[in-house]
Amino acid sequence: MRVDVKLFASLARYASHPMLAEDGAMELLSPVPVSHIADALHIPRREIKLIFLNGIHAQMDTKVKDGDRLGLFPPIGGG
Amino acid sequence: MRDLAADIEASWQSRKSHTNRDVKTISDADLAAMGKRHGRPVREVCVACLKMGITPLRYLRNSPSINIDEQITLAESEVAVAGAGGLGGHVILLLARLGIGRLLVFDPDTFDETNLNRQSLCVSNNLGALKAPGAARQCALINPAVEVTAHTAAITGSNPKSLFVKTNVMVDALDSAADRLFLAELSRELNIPMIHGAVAGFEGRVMTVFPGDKGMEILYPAEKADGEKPFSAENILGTPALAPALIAAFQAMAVLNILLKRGPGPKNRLLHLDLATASLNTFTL
Repeated sequence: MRVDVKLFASLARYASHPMLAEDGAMELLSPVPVSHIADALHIPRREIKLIFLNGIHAQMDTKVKDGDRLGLFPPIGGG
Repeated sequence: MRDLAADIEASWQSRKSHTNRDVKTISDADLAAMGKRHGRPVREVCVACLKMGITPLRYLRNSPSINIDEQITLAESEVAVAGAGGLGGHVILLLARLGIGRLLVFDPDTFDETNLNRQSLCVSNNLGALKAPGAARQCALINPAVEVTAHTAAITGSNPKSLFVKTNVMVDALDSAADRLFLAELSRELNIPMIHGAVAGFEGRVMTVFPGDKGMEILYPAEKADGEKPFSAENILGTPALAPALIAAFQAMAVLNILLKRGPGPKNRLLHLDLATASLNTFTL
């Protein structure tokens, strides 16, 4: 299965992981929780503040399925 | 001496608008002179002109995107801006040009050299000066019909609630999670909509928060508010000039939408913009 992973702001520095294609595509064998994808990409949990699955607020244990769009945000507080 | 209405009637001048209509207009110099003659603030003279169908020249090019009745609404509105830094500076200047009647500006800080890269109110000859009065001085030059009250205490301080009895909208242009949560709670308590904005690198986000919405608690869970600064994106990416200008324009537009009842859009919707990839994403909280 294939999911689309978008790493926003400072999380973009983790996008060079070999599991992640340049366009954000990631191949997985079966549906997994968000935390599985974060760990696979070596993104420290403390750097992930907000999770969106298909544009809707989600949690670390939300299951990601084939064709889903996952967006991960760090804390953003600049003003 | 004739009364204000008679004075206005004698002072307006006809002018062709950019849409080739004949428009009754009045100059800033006349507004100021009449204010002085009648002992009235320029804002009040301005409102009196608008109500007589006379457009101050400074608002002529707002029309028809902002019509004369809407310009009156703006001139009779009050917006509180929390923070006069990167976002707040741009927001304040935009709201002043739009003709928001009263601005309450809160910022306890002074300008320093590291602000010069992005803060539109910060210039080389006001380094060391307080930001809130600096905003008031700049607004006076841009639009004398805007009454700015500069508060050099933080909005998170022990300000009396009575300060906000006339406030229609609050703008979150703060820079710490704890302060933003405080403002969210204050706006909820006072039943005033709040416009959240935040930036990091070439990205930023904006969200309209209505009293009762839980959006800010999702963006900034209280238990983590203080411990995450090293991982906050702005401390990793910096904050160049572009994102604050962009996000501030979206915040000012959100203020306009609320004041003019143009439909603020769906609730709990977070708008994220990335200048580097020219992309816009919306998320539902």
